[in-house]
Order: sequence, then structure tokens, then C-alpha cells
Amino acid sequence: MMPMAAALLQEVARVSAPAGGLTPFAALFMTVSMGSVTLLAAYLFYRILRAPMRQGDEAQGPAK
Amino acid sequence: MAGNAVGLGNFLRFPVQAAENGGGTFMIPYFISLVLLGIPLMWLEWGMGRYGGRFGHGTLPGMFQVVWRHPAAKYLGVVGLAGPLIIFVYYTYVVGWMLGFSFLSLTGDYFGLTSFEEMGAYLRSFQDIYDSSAHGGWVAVVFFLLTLALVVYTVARGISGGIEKMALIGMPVLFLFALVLMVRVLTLPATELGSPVQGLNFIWQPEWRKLWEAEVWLAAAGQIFFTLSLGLGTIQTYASYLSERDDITLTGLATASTNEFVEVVLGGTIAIPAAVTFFGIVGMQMVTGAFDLGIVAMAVVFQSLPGPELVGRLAGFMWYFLLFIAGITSSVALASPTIAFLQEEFGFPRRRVARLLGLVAIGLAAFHVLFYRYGFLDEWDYWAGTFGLVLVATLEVVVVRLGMGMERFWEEMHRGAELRVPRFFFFVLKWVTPLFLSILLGWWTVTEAWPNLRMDGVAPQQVAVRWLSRLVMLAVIALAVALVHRAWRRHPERYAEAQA
Repeated sequence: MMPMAAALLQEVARVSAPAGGLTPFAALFMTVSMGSVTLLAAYLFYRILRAPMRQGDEAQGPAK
Repeated sequence: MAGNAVGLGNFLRFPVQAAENGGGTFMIPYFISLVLLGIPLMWLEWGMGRYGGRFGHGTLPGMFQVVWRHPAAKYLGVVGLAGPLIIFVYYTYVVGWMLGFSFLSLTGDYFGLTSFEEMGAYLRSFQDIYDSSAHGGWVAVVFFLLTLALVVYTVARGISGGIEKMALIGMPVLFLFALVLMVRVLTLPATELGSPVQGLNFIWQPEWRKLWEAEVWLAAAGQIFFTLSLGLGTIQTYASYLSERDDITLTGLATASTNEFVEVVLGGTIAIPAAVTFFGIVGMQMVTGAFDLGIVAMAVVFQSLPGPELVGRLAGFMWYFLLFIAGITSSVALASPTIAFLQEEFGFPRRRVARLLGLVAIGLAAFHVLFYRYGFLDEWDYWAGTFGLVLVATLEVVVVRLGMGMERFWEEMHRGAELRVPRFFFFVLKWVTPLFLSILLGWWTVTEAWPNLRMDGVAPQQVAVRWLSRLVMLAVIALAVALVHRAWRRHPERYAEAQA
């Protein structure tokens, strides 16, 4: 139990280090990651909406 | 397709995996796995689905057969037919719990149970038909039947009339509820134990020495599997409805990125920051298990929100209802391979097949209801919903390599493409993804599958039921094998033509 408790305390110390704030790395990592997936999703949907609509694409089931 | 990918995994499984594997440390292999495993496999499944659809096959047995012209191919594909059916049954049962909890949040049924222990006992009573300490296990059954009825109604109405409409209504509601909850969580005042910012710091600050632990990498790779719905056979069924001229590269990537947005941006900023605020980092890390964090801990959080009780009730309703929407769209997708197979191979009308599926699901779910406390559901979740996914994906890669070769598949993938995929991904798909899958499958076989098969650590009173659980699963697989065999004997000319 003791090593486990010590590990947990270390973990608390790690995440609580910048009391009330994000570490610079965490802030950067979060911004880049969240920004990337958001921009990528937005860009790809923009590309899909811009792509020419094709006729007869209504889903009817696999070709027989 | 985004409705298929976005599921309970985004909001329930992801935060728990991140919490158990060091928060920020987990996110690095998570993104690497997304690029090397998730996105290439997504394209592979879309490509295989569209290719199979061209020959009239919407499920893996037929698709494997047309890709790899070997008599055994169709039988290998059975895993992609029985697997989704097995998962569909227990997944829909769990989705029913979310509907139940959204209703119980509105009525304030669990309000007053403010400790983790009290709320845990309440959930156990909800899950277990034999425990009526809260209000009796029949409540979960009622909500399961309501959920199943909605799924059957939706799939019976077809792709455009039912499934697309559900996604069209459900996805915006999910986004709206998730955004409202995200804003509420991030603006929570700090408590003595923690703050939302500390929760974010936990998710995004890596502990570098932990990065060398294999378990963290395997957990991250596993999460990518579940979150993108890979190895289920559902992507192929949906993609089989596309024509040869339809793009799959851009749409496949858009689906993956939408799922990542929901998981990383929305899923990552609700449960963990909320739990850290009210339980602290240590308390949050002690809450393991998707249901403990997503249901129990969040129910305690909603009761602790500042303001009148109505705010907590509404927040609870929004959280569980967004889980219900995320789950039910995936549930509908899981029903699709069975529906497509019986429709295409036996010519049954869609509505009749949907009703039949509903009856089969009720029959199989009865085992989960009766034997939940003995681990019946856990067995299905592990073998079909965890190990099975990696097994199916490995088979997909092997079949494509043996049948088409990656060069030909790459060309096939780019038919009608709106997005030219960088050649780097050809190398990844050909070498890195299979290697990654082999490591994942091998590691899980040694560290989890073998001990699970031997039932290491299982309580003696659960052993008989767990064997029964495996036998029922095997019976479903045997039935799928028999149906595939019969379908091929019924229309030999169709399959001969498909192979020509």
C-alpha cells in the first residue's frame, strides 16, 4: 500500500504543480491537439460540401 | 457514418482510459495510433465495403469472398457477421441504461445519494434484477425494451428513411448538449479538492518516464479501435451502399476527424475536469471502470453543482441523454450487418428482418438481464467487443493482402476520390498497420485473452454462468456459419459471377 500511496502523492504533486493553472507544455499540447482536430474536421466538411453533388447517389443498397 | 463512429466510447471509455494511463502520457501514443492504425484501417474498411457492395455484398462473408477468392474466405468473414450481432445485444442493453438514467435524472430519483458509495449501490440495483434496494431491476428492462423498439423501428425504415434521419436529428442534439455541459464544467468554481483546469492539466501534461510503458501504448491503440468502430463490420455495411464513383478517402477521413473532435475536444473536457473538481486527482484516479466514472461519479457531480437542484437535474438529463444518443446511433449501426445479410442473401423484406432481429435480441438479452451479476455481459464484452475487434481487423488486413494486394487496393481506394492520400500512408497500410495489429493481438492474447480464457481471478460462483455465456456466443457463431453455408449453396451462380 505504501508504494502505491507514494506514487499517488507524486502524481498529485505533478498535476498540482502549477496550482490553478496549466503547465506551458500542457497548454501547448492541448491547444495544438484540440485545434488540429477541430480545424481538420471543419476543413474536411468544407471540402465535402464543396465537392460536386453526384446524381443517383441515394443509398439504395448494394448493387445486385 | 459519424453516428456510427461516435458512441459510448467517446464519452465513457476515453476518459477512463486516459485517467488510468497517466492522462497526458496516454495522449501521445493515442495520436500516434490514430495516424498509424486508426485512419489507415478506416480507409481499408471503407474501401472493402464499397468494393463488396459492387458485387451485392453488404457484410464481411461476401466481401472476404470477392476480395480473396478462396473457399475459406466466406467462413473467415463470419466473425464480422456474428460479432456485431453479439455486441448489438449487450450494447443496446447498456444504451437502455443511459435512457433510464436520463429519465431518473429529470425526476431527481437518485438525488440525495451524494456519496460515491451510495450512488454505486444505486447503479448496482439498477443493473441487477435481483437487487431491488433502489427500485428493482425491471426498470432497466423497461428502458432496454424502449431502446430496442426505437432501434428496430429505425432500421426497419431503411438507410435514408430511418438511419440517416436518426443521425440528422441525434447528432446536432448530441453536439449541443456536449457543448453546454463542456462550458458548464469548465466554468465550475474550484473546490478544496481540485479545479477544472487541474483536470485539463492532468489530461494534457505527460509524465515522460511513463511513456516507455508498453501498457500505455496498447491501451491507446485499443481506444483508437473502439472509438472509430473498427473491426466491427459496420463501416463496411454502410460503405457497401456507396457507388463506385463515390469518394471514400475524404469522407473516411472526415468521419475519423469528427469522431476525434467529439472525443478529444468534447469527451475530454467533461468527465475528467468535472471529476477532478469534485473528487481531486487522487479521488478521480480511484474511480476506475467506464460506468463508475461516467455514471456513478457524474451523478454525484450533478448533485454538487452550484445553484438550485433543477440545474443538476437538467445537467444530469443532458449528460445521460447525450450518452443515449451516442449509443443508439452506434446500436443502429451494429444491427445493420445482420439486416443486410438476411436481406441480400435470403431476400427477406427489411421490416420482417428488423422485427426478427428485435425478437432475437430480446431472447439473448434475457441472459444478460438474468445473469448480469455473474459476469455474463463481461464475457461477451471481452471476447466480442474487445478481443474480437482486433481479430476482425487483423483478418481484414490479411484478406486484402492475400486477395488484392495493397497496390491494387490503393488504386481501388482512390476511385472517385476527392482527396489524394499521401503515399506515406501506402507504406503505413502495407507494413506498419499489420505490424502494429500483430503486436496488439499477440500482446493481448498473452496478457489478457489466455488468463481470461482460464478464468483467472473469476469468483467460483461465476464460473458456470461464464461458460454458459461462452456457449451462447459460440451458438450464435455456429448459426452464422450455417447461414453463410446455406446462402452460398442457395445461389452458387451469384458467387461464381462475383468471383469472375
